[in-house]
Amino acid sequence: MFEEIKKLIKAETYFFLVTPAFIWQFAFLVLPLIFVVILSLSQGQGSHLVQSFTLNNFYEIFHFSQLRIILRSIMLASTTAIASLLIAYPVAYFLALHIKRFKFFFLFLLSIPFLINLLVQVYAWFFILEKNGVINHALMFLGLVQKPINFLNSYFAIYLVMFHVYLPFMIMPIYSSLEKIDTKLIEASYDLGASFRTTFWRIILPLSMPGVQAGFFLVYVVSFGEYVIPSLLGGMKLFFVGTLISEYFFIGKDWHLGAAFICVSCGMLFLSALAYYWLFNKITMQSKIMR
Amino acid sequence: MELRLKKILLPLYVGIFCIFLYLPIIILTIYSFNRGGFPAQWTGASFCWYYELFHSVEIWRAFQNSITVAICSAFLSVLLGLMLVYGAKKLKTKISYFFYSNILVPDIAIAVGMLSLFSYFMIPLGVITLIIGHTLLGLGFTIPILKSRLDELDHRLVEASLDLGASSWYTFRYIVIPFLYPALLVSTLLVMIVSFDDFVISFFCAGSSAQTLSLYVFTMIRSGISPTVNALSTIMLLISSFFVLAISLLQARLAVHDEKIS
Amino acid sequence: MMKKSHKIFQEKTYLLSWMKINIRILFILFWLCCLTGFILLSYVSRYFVPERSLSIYMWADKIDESVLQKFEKDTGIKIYVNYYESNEELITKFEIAKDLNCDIILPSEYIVEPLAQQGFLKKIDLSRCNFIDRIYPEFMNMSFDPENQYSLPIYWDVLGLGYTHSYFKDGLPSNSWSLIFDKNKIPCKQISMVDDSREAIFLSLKYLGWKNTQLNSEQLDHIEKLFLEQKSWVGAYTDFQQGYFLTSKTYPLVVGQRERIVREMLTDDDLSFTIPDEGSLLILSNIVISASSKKDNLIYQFINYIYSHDIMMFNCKEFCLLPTIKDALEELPQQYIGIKDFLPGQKNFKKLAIFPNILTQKQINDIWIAFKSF
Repeated sequence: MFEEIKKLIKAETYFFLVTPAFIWQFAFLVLPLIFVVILSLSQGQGSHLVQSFTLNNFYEIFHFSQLRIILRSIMLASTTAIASLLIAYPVAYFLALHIKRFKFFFLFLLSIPFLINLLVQVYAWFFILEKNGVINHALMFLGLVQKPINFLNSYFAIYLVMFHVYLPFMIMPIYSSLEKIDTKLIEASYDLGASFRTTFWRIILPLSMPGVQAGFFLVYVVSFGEYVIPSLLGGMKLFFVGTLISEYFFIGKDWHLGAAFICVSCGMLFLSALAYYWLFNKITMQSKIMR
Repeated sequence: MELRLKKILLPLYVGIFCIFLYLPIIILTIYSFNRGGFPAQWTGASFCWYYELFHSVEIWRAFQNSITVAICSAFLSVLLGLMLVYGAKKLKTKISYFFYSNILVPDIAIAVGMLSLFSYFMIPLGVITLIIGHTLLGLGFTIPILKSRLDELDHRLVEASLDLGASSWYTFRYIVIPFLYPALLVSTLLVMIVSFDDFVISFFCAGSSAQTLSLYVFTMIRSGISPTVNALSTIMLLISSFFVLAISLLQARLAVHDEKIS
Repeated sequence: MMKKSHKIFQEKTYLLSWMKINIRILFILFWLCCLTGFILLSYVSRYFVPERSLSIYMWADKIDESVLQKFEKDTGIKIYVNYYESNEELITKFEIAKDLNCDIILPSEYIVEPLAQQGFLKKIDLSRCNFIDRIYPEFMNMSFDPENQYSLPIYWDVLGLGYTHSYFKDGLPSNSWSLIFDKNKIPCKQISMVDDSREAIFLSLKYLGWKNTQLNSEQLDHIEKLFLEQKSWVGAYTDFQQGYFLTSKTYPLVVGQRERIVREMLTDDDLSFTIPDEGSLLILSNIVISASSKKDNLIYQFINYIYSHDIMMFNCKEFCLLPTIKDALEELPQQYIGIKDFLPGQKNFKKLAIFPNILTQKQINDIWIAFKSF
């Protein structure tokens, strides 16, 4: 009998190994999210956070100003993703298909901004954009403006820094999918007499689509919930999803409304991501038909 | 025309791109040696801000906390990730894909959720809750990395080892782990950097007793410009670069190693 | 014969699969215990704090590091400092954690009452404080803590307008809050406003001239509209960066605490600070003791040390704070005060008042979030 139990325990070792990570994930990712959903559906005060169940919170959230903030965040995330996609693609292309020798040096060079502390980067931009900063000095030196321009605490500053911070995120996925393209296909295309433009649109771009999609969605989803950049560069006047959530939780102290807002904005994020996914599929379908 | 595009325009474009990418950091670094504080007129080079930095008790404590949390969460997430990936492979389940979503769920939703959970169960916020949060983030990085590396392991090697009479533990220790070395090191370093740089989860889950470096910089920025932060930023930049260099070298060696094998 | 062995075989398989599930459950429980043990570590960490130590929870820039280090050297008591960003955060954390594991806290005046009511504070033994007679009577026995049972005032400050002389060559057009609230009276394109809901609402009350009666919903809506209108000419809301905005000439007129603006005034002659005629908010920082603390001796040692003349002078000069102690304040040079006739009993001091109890915290929060998110 004991022999068999021992054998069973041995057989179950793999289950034993798999469990902790799963429990961790469940306890600290799934459970908190469930908790947020419960919070959003309830009312209560102080230490009795969940006292009664109601849909009231959602009624209060579906207000014009809150929805406008969500739309603003979607705009910000979309612009960041699209702009960084357009700018980063040529760089990834250059890195994957044109550099033969110093590849690792370039990869190293392009990885550093990716891993510098976000706050340090924002601080650096703060330094540059402010009224006595480098850009204003340069503009005045070149005689383009008479008085220094106020760049900070504006949408311009937020968009610019978001774009700058998320660029490296876009390069890596595109680079890795471009790298996987078999160069023989490209050579074959040139041998058959195709111009660079044809080769690019009909071979390279479609084959790199997985990387493009991965990069796009990574940047889109992550920049939607961004807190630091709008908070430090928005003058606490321009609100996006991330800053409003923090405002609800720390200033307004209304955890239920805050939770409801999180649910609604995550829902909108999911829907908009689906819309983009459908758009991507349509484009790739289109290009397949063109072939 | 296309040749001109390729030979001149594209490298030029990439060059401008690199300058744009590095501009803020370079300016910050240069001005950290400026003797006058901010607003910056270049008043002479000096290390005075670095001196002040090294003598600030608060910054050292924040640094200590950041390093502790980084090391612990890296260790935990690599350990748990390794166990999960190996067990999942043996059990032939697809559970690893459950962890791919960690990166995609908005930071702030996770942070707020954890805050409410901790407050409901009255768990005091501090270094431990920070480690918990960062390990969760780390799992989202280690599991994909380890899984893709483990998938490359030729199962015939493992079978051969078992056929030759080695126990599964022996096989695990002397065949699987060495094969995974680079991936293990890369994911450790990656989780350490992610934890070191993390702000959102620290902001919500750190409580009063754990001040990390990111939180410190955030407080300083909110108060305006402080030249000590310039010096601090340069040092953090150096630390991050060191890690990235380590990762890149490892990946280079990994590529060469793989080529040798095949 | 076959049937019997078959039955035994079936039984055995059932038993084994039952065991299998049990073992799995056992494994899960094992890991759950490990997890709970790990979480309980966070409770343990507080026991590693040495006996002769104090934990202080305060706003940044209130007590200088060197002062604390000197205290540590002189008495051997180790000091641990943690910072918090806002008073709301303080109350939230207290409500969550019930006990923040700190000994001394430096909250603002309006938090003292809620904290005391919820039992988070310990009564102060005034006989053990050797500086009570040196505190201005104007700062004692205030409405939020009538007999100073729970708090001792340590620093005080006011809200006012900071401006640059280079922009306002003849000074401000008028000394009134209408400069920031009235569309027709704003003297420049953009200003910076305080980010604190209470402070902002107090200023609007002073501007509107409403006296101390409970506000009805019409009046609350009026306040909200006022802020919404003001938003169009506010460049930024900040509690920390006003001085920086002035020196970098980002905004020529800012609303903020005297402390931060005077700090910049020390090095920049172009700046000035004034309190409008309608009056302004008196902000008091207090020392309170946490109810869970058991280190009374050490605490009173520390408090007496902080209130001592030299230390108080040093801190106030370092951060441009205003002490509540007579001898320290009278000795403080004018440049650290920043505005004339300002000491207790003098003309400008009479304009100051504490936040009246005419609207609840929830109403304040609602107005603030509503207009901010618009």
